[in-house]
This record gives sequence, structure tokens and C-alpha cells, in this order.
Amino acid sequence: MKIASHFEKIERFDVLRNRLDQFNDFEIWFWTTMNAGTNAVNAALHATGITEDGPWYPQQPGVYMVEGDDPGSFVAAFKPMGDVLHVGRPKIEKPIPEKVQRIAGLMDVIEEWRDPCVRDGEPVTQEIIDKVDTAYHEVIALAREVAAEGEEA
Amino acid sequence: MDSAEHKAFAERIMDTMEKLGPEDYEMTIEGAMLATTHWVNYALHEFGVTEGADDVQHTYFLSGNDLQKLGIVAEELLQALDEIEKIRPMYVRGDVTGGDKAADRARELLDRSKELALAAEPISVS
Repeated sequence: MKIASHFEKIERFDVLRNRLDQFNDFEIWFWTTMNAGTNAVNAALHATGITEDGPWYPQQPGVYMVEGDDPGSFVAAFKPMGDVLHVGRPKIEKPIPEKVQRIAGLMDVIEEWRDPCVRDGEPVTQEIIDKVDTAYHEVIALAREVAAEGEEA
Repeated sequence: MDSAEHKAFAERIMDTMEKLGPEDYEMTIEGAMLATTHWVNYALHEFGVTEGADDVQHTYFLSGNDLQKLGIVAEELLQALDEIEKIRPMYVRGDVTGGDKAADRARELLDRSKELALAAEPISVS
């Protein structure tokens, strides 16, 4: 997906996460945060030329949904690496620039709480929310920097 | 997670989904996926075919054996979750037009999943 589309999603996700209550709506607040972060990761990977920005959409590592022959249909296909599902899915074998590595590290901070708090019922604390929120803002700011640097290059 | 916890989580997520509008179609689809997953697990626990340690996450993580076994009692529920999962690449991760319609469909599947799950009762083997 194109960098502009990733940032369009990030802007809408940012509006939504600000509308939700961090505790009462934790699951969707967290999922919105994680999705925005993943879009930031993908924008940064495209901007640095590590992954492609074509119209193929990840279904599982290495497998993408692409338009089929029938209008509006999609079929699974192998394609060059495009958008990742999460940091590490799939693993990227190319050298990663320092700022993109920092983004990936911050996403690990966010994703650490995905299964425990959203699927497994671990109690949500203010400390967890603060860690996720701080990492999120850093991820988005860094991705914007990387994308701007990519435009200048 | 036990069935009561799955029900509570599913209902919390569905409450949050009431705050989402058409422009939030990605999170309607994701909320439907998360809540339907809880309804699937609630139903499987109520049927007595799985326990907390065997919670289903994504249908694509299930083996053929798992799908056959769980499908005996929860085929429509698993199909609903699978259909929601298949919407995600194009409309949540991608920017294919029609996300609002896809979200409406995900919401329908979630509502049907809740209905099916709440009707689940322990199975008898004879």
C-alpha cells in the first residue's frame, strides 16, 4: 500500500484512539494503536526502499491478497515483500536503517501487551497504558521523519 | 480464560463498537474479529469441547484435525470468524474501496455469532 494511504489510516486511527476511553475501551483503543503503529512501520519500510508499496495485501507471511480476474474478487498469491503484518512477520533479511530499527523496537513495547491484555485477560494498568501511549507517539513521529527523509532523498 | 470471562470481554468490545462510525470501518472489522473470537471460545467452553488453555485465536492457526473436531458443534461460528478474518487483508491492512460495506458484513457475522454462542449447551456423548 502507498505511503500516503498508510498515513491516511494513521490520521483516522489517531482521531479514533483519542475518542476512546483508555480503560473502558481498552481492547479497541489498544488495537487501534497497534494498527496505527503497523501502518507507521510499513510507511517507514517503503520510504527506505526495504519493502514494496504495491496493491497486494498481507494475509500471512509471504502470502498476499491480490485482485483476481473477476471484478472485486481477490485471490491469494506469492508476491515480493510488501506490507508486513507485524514486526517480525515476516522477518526482514535486509539491513534495517537505525530509525526504522527504533520504530520496530517501540512496536515490540506495544505488542508485548497484545495477547496478555486483549486475549488473555491480564488486568490493564495505568503503567501499561502509559508505556503503550508513549511508544505509539514515538513510533508515529519517527515514521513521519523517515517518510520526509525519503521524499528528500 | 473461562467462558464467563470470554462473554464479558465480547460484550465490552461490542459496547466499544457502539462508539464507532462508518469512518472507523477498520476497527469495526477488527472489533468483530476480536469479539467473535471470544464468542467462539465461550461457545466451545459451554459445549464442553475445549477449556481455557485451548482457546482459539485465528481460524487459520487451526489444523485440519482441529477444524473437523470443533466444527462438529461450532461449524457456523468458525465459518463466521473465518469470513471476518478473510475481510481483513483488503480492508483493514489494505485500502480497497468498500470498507464500510465490509464492516457492515463483519458486524452481521458478529451479531450472529453472539446469538449462536449464547445458545450453546453442554453436549452429551452416547
